[in-house]
Amino acid sequence: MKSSHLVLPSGLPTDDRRPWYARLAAAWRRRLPGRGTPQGGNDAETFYAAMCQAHPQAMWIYDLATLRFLQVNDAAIAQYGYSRDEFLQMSILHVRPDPEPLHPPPTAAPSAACIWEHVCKDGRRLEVDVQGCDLVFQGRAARMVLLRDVSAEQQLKRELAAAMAAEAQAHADLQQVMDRISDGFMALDAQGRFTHANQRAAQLLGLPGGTVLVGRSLDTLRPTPGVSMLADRVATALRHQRPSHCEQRLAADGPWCELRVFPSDRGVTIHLSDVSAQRRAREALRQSERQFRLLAERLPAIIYRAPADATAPCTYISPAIRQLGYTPMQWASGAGPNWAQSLHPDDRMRVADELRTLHATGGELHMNYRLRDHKGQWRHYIDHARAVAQPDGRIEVQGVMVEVTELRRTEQALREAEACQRGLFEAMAEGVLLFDAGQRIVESNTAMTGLSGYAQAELMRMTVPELLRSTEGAAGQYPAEAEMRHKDGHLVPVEISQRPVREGFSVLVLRDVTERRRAEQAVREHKSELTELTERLLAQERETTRYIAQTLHEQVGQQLTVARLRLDATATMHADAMTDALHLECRQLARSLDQAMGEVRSVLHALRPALLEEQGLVAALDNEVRTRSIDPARADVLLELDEDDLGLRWPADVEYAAFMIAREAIVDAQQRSGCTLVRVVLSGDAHSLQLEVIDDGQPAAQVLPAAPLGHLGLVGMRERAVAIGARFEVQYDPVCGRTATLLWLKGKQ
Amino acid sequence: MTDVYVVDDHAMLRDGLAVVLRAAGHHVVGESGDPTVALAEIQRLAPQVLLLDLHLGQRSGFELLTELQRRKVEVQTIVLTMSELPRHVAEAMRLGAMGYMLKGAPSAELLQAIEAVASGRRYLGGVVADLAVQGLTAGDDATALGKLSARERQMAELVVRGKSSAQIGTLLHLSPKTVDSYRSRLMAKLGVADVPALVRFSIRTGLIDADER
Repeated sequence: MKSSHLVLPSGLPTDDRRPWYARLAAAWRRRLPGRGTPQGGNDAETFYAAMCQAHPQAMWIYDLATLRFLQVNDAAIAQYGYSRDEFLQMSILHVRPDPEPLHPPPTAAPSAACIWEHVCKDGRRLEVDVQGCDLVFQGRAARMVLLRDVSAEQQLKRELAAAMAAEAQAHADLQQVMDRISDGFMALDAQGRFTHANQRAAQLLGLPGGTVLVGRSLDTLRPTPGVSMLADRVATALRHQRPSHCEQRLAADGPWCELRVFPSDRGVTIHLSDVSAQRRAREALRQSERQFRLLAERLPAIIYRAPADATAPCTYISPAIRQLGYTPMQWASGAGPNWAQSLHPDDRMRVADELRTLHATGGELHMNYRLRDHKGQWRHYIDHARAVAQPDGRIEVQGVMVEVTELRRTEQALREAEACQRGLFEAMAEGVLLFDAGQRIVESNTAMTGLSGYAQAELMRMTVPELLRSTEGAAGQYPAEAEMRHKDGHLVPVEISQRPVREGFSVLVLRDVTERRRAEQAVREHKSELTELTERLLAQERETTRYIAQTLHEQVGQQLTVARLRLDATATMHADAMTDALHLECRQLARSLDQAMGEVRSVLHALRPALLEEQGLVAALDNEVRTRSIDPARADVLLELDEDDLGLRWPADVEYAAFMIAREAIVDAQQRSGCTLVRVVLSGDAHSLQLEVIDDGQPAAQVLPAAPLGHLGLVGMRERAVAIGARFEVQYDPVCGRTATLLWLKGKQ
Repeated sequence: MTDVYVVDDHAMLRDGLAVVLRAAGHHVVGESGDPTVALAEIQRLAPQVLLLDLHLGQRSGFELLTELQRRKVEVQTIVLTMSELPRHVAEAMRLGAMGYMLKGAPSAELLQAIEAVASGRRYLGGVVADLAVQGLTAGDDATALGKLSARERQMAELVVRGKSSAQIGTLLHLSPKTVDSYRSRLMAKLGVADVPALVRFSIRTGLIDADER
């Protein structure tokens, strides 16, 4: 305890204070009478000086106004390294570099202790516990200061604080690590108090969130089933000092936990991990294994495990072995024939070699062989075998035998079918190409070689577009007809039939149609010639008809008229001189002439359409229709046209053809049964003509009735239309009847 | 004796006619095969009777008839032709011809025709009379009615009963245009110009009763 009047060295043991008191008393006794202090001090001042001097700890007194030292003791001189005189020349600022203390005093009282950093003469820095009291010394306001070097003490404090901080950090880090791990971790001391625990542990125990376990004991926790079970486990572990583990659901709806308890003499460490996923995985695995076994048992394939010695019985054989007529027990126990005995003799050597290779090299092997069933029938198998080394060093063969008897039969049938197809392929008269998605030729037949001139090997190096001159084959689709480049360069017209055969492959069948093209060309030429001939014939017919009509009219008719006139004149002039017989003869001759004249008129009417040349088609048709309508017993014939069309005229050959077609159609309609009305509908303009002859008669029988003399029927109508470059068609409708249509367009021949 | 001019494109026929006419005491004042020449000569010679063929090569006797009518030439024309078309008969009559005969008819008939027309009467040959009936008129009612077909009769009845073309078309399943054609046809056959005439004809012939309308 500090005193403003008597400063005792603190920190000294009571016994050590004695020399100090002795020195203080000696100093006091050495004081000379009247000597006093240099500044005329009093007793107190003397006492302070003596006490300062005698104090075992460093002390000094300095002027509060100038901060200069007024007195220092020996301990201070020893501690700071300055001589007394040096001190008395200095102020406290020389030893105190910083204006502020390292540790300020808790109170503002002058005597309050604080720690300053002081500098010694040799530059050492000291941490000094400074306590002072104000007094009057040498007549000045001064402060007497007790200085205690606490550098070592402060260093120790700092190291202790650092150590404690490190420990706290380590603890916090540990807790963080524990909280971060997904497993629960707890440590309990021997009394059952938690010394460590992470949040996951409390969570797995089913405790409310935020429950702090550290520092608590198990029996203070809410007694959940998990806590109770944990308490039992801890007690057992501590009692037997043996680690234990179990899987337990610690909370009613909580996950399955694996609980591992590690006891020691200081307590137990408990590790909790959520194994729900593992349990589900194990359960799934078990289920999968069950299903796999079930599947394996039901598979038509035979699954087996067998020792390396092929003659030894299998260690496992699946029930599918029944397909050979044996039970698994017979096959596995050796009671029945074993695998080696059932092998086809032709396969034994090869399979034995393959097995030796398998044993020697390990890995997998696919073997094909035949096995004899209990009826003696041979069955084909593919055996996917694998050599597996057992823990005891033995080699075991594990495999799956798949019966492929039907597959082999199918393959055989397929080979035969392919051979048959190949025969047909080669025997085909048409060229056949098989090409892929890139249009590369992959196969061809012999006929193709003959057709193209290329050998099969050459064709195999070509693409279809190289062979066919077609711009449409870019997408792999070829037209029905194209031209093929023969090897010698000439083009062969071919008819193409294309069909996809399988994914990415198509077949082209090429037929040389050179002859057909020639025939078609010939037909076209013949047809053209026929059309031309028809035109010429019809023109000739028209000319002939016109000529005959003209001859009849201009020559025969006139001659007959003249003959009749002359006969009459002769008979009149010579009537008196003529005998009766001659009169009779003249009259008979006159009748013959009349009859001949009538026939000439009749023929003229049939040959030369009346009014057609002089008044045109409309007038001629009108006359024809009127003529055909005279007989009321026959079908009515009407001409329908617009009044605007009355004066229309068309080229003479068109009018003639249209008239003759109309006449033919009218005659044809009036001949057919059920016909009551024939409508002739005419329309058009200077550039077109449309003639329709519509009747309500029954459709013509397959065998057409013979056309009347001078009429050519439908064939004649069509030919007349063709001759003028018109279109002609006949349609029959059950409601509207038959319609014969002629359409002529100028310049559209 | 009658002055006759002959127009025919056949010289041989003209010669024959001349022989017959002269033998009968007629005077052939001229002859030609060309209508233009004939027109000029007819105007100049002023014959009483003209024997005219309708077919004159590339030209037609109707041209001459038309021109004579237009020029009001006083000549009685007898058409002597090969054509027996009713339309030709009718057309010739319309253009002022007084007679129409077919070539080949007896000379006596021709002479009768010349005599008739020369005295201002019409003359049609025996066959031509029928043609004229077809071309101009329907003849007597009974004959005309007999020339109608069953559907034409049906059409006439419906027209007389006041049915429109559309109504008749609906009834008979025909288009109105066809009905119009039918109507024109039957009226031409019957020689009636309009519906009232058709009504009168129908009543007259008993096609319908007078009370029915």
